[in-house]
Amino acid sequence: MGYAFFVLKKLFRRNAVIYVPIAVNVAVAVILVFVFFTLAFNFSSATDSLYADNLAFYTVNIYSYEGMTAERAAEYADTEGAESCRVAYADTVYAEGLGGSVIPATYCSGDLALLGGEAFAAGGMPESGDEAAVTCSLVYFLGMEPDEAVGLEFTLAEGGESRTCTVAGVLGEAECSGLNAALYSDVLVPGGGDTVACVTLRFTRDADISAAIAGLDEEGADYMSDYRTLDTMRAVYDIISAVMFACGGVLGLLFALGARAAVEYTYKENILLWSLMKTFGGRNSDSFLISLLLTALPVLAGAAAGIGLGALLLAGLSSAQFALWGVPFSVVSAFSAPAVGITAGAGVCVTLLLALMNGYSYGRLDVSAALRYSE
Amino acid sequence: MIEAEGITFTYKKTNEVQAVRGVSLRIESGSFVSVVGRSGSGKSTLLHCLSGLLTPDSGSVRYDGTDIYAMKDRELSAFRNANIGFVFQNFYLEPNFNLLENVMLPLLVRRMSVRQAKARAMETLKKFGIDDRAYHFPAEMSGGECQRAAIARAIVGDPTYIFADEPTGNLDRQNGRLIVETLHELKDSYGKTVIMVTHNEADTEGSDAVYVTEDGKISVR
Repeated sequence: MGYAFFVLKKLFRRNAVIYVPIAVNVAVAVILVFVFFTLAFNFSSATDSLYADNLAFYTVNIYSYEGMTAERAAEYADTEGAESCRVAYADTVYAEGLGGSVIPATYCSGDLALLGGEAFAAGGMPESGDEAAVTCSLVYFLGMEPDEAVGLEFTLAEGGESRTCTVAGVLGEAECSGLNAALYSDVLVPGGGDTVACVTLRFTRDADISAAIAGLDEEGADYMSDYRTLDTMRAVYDIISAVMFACGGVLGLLFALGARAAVEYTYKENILLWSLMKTFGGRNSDSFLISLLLTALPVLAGAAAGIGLGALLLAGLSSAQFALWGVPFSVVSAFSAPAVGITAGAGVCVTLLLALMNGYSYGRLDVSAALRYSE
Repeated sequence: MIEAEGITFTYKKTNEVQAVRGVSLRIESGSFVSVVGRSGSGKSTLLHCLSGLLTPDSGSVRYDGTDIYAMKDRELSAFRNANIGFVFQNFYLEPNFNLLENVMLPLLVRRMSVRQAKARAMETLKKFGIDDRAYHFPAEMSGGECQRAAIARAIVGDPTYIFADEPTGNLDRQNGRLIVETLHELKDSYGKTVIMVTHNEADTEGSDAVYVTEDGKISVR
């Protein structure tokens, strides 16, 4: 080993040039990840802000006991061009209770799955059609605290029939924001229809629905504008995510090519020494060890760092993307850690293979030709 | 004693060139043998085949009865390290190593400690009168000094056989003469067997045997 390290020490400066592209590669990966997360954070903050400041307000303010029907809701949706809001009134029924108010409830079991178990400010996930989750904003709107609402009973009125429901959990605000911001219904009951973001209309009892709709026209325009902004931001984010993903892929490819080139470079650059060592009776294993230490370890470290960061980037992208596709975060998070490990491990294995190829090349070195080549 | 029997070697990478054609020869221990021939006549290839650097396509090379090409790579490496020293036309001194480190290389390959190798290399450099240049790099040395350092490196491990491939090829006449004299001294004073390839007829003076190569074949002069 003394001999190996003696040679290594001497060669380090000459071969240091290969560490530069590796360092640059890693730096680019770090920057890419940093940019991505900064971007994601800023988008998240922007959409949070947009949602908190504007959209949330418009989701919780209308109620109609007698007047609101699916037809009227559709009329309102038409008025506001609400098809882009994905309003789903067909699933709307009426809930009576909760401090005397009567509110429309929307079956959105898909939303519940998306929200997962971590979204509750109080209580937990409703487990049957007799239980419901309500939003914080609704509870605050009713002048209650989340803890107080849990366990309250209310009546769901549907198709002329009614049934009693219990509030099992109160959804926090946080999960209804950020990149995954969706306009959730204020009352969510398992066993409902499709997963849709719903504008919940709530009217005061005996309200003049025409006047309420008219009053909303002006605000609705702002709302639609904000919602379109949100949609635009999401679309832009999707595009940027795709670009970042492509950059990550190109980076990974360049890294693999760079690692191979580095291995070849050091092999050729040191060919005189390899030849001399073999000429003077050096064993293949000695030179293999030196070439491995010289080229493989820095490349390996760089690859591990680069690919690890790339994997993190991929995982970051994936979790955001999967969430947008409606895959529960719990599922994504369960798979992202092994994915990072597997990706980084695969990268390390590939790089190690490259180093082994270098050692193999040395083993097959034609000293006679190599000496002439080195001239 | 080195005995070569029917050595054939063909370069196959591009056009097939048969560089050595069925060469047989016998080199007595402690002798000085010169191999002369025109450029491209196969003399360097023959030297590499004889010294265990280039495996011939057919034939055998025996050192005191042992066929070196029947050895495993590890055994052949150990054999070369213990028994063979090399001197090349272009010196082949590692430019990143100073003179001392270049001379130490065969000893380090032998697993000698760096400290011991340094002491022995310095002693060898002293024999050749270039110990004052021990910490200089090859680029800072003259051709003659580089070749003397290369010879020092060839004998530092006390090998029995010295293979010199056109050792005067890159030197002026005076330095070339000095190098040939040094090689003769290795034979005369240290009992080494020296096999020298050259294209310069004058260098063969004083050789115990002179072989001439032509088109891959060899004949005794």
